[in-house]
Amino acid sequence: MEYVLTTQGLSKHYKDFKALDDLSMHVPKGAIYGFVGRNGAGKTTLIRLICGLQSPTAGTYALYGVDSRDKGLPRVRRRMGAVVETPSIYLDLTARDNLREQLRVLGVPSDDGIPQLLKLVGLEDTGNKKARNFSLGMKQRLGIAVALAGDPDFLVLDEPVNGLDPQGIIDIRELILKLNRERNITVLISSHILDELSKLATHYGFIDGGRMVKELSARELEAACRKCLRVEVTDTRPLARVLDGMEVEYKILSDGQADVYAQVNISQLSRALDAEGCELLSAQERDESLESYFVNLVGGAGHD
Amino acid sequence: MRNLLAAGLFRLWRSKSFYATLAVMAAVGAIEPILGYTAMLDLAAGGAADAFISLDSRYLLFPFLSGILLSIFCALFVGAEHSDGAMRNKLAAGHRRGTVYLSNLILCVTAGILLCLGYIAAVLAVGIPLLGPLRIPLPLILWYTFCSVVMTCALAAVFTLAAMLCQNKAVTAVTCISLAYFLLFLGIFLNSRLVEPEIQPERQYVEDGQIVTLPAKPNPSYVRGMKRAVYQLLYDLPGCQTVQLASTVDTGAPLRLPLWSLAAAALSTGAGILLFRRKDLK
Repeated sequence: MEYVLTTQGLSKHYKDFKALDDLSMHVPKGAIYGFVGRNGAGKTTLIRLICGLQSPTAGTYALYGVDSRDKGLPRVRRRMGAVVETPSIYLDLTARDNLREQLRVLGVPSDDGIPQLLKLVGLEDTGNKKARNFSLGMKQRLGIAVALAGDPDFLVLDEPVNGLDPQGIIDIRELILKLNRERNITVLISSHILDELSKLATHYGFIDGGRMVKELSARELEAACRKCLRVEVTDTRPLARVLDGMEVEYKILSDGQADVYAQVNISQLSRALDAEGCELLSAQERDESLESYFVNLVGGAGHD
Repeated sequence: MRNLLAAGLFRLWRSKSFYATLAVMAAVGAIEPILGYTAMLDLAAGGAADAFISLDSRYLLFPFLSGILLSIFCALFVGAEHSDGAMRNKLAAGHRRGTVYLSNLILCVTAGILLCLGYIAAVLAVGIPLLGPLRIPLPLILWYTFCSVVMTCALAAVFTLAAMLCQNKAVTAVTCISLAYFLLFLGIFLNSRLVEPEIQPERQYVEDGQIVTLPAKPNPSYVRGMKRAVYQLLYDLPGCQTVQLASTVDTGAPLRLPLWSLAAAALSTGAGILLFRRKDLK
């Protein structure tokens, strides 16, 4: 698999505090990578490192295969756009002037792409209004437009929906999906709004205490979170025979436990097991959300 | 660098803080000769035989003002890079920190020179018709202007250092403005101490119809030894040297003043780039 961003043993320490601790992550090309973690887990620190705002204490990262110690990294960074924490826009300039400014920073000779960019983020009608007078959602969209000014193929968004109203959240979500599907832009989104992230992400990385706890694809997560009936029996061998007979999908977890991925009639199952000399001890419906998966993964005790 | 300068100039031409400080410089430059002219009319009305005020004293004022206004401009212009987060865009776009620092320095120096020119243009445009041309010979005026502009550029380097290293715009503004005032008042204080004569001259006064003569004696206020050397060193620093530049305009300011300004600019820029490269940005 081709990766846009990889990190190996990346660490960032502030005196005695370990903001990132031996973190390894892999962002596949074309993915919408949901970077999940509680406040202070190290999400923004990682983004600051890959944007070149800070230097790692230890470890390395690679953007498009170019190592962070390589002198060619600044050139590769031009393929990346980022919105770190708050949108990076001049508040005393208009949306159009912010984009013109960024195009000059990037050395793009022509301003021709500005109307398209403004249309893409829905700010084409802002005219001479200064960014200072924009709503939070408009500022966020302008920040994304500025990040897109260099036509990047990797977009890094740090908490892009924080503080937005429901319509603002929908607008940002649709924009991200559009960028990913129509322009094939790889997106790294850090967030702790899991419900929103679950509507976008194709891959997930769960971070806690500066360490990567787990990385998996949305498909793997879906399988892990799939709705099922967890049954406890005295012996799973007769259970397997009964479920095979019922042509039902299942997964044996241990000698006495299995997950059944179908709606089964409990009385019917109990009678069939009884006939096989097996006892049904308990049956519990499980429907794990991304939220409960995350809490189970990192532990809920330390939650804010 | 070229891209950053193009972007910076684009923003400079739209910067309210730049136009506001330039307007203040130009306004003061225009008002000063008017005040001089009204004072001259008052003197003439009072019957003064040689009621004449020269444009020179009005012209010499600009370095006193340029440092203070430049401190405000640098704090707001460069401070916005941090507070608005635009510094992140430049670094994320692959620009090196040294280049980002130097581009901001060049913009602040440009603004400093334009502020000086704003004053000079206004004071000459309004002053020459009212008070006549400058009396000081042209080479001396040009040398004074050159030294003052070099000092303003050195102050721009110092303010850029503060603004690039401090990520809080309000703190940057307070620091830069306080520093500008501190250097100016320190210069005035040092001037008052350094002009003290070493020997108090012989003095005579009349007491009970008799002329009493006090012999010449060492001046207790005269600054001596190492303390004088330190005072002189500080007096030559950009900001502090403003008074010295004005007081030596008739003879020409010593060459060491612009050299000190250039040294201070080089030192602060070198230190600034070094520290900015290591700085963790948010």
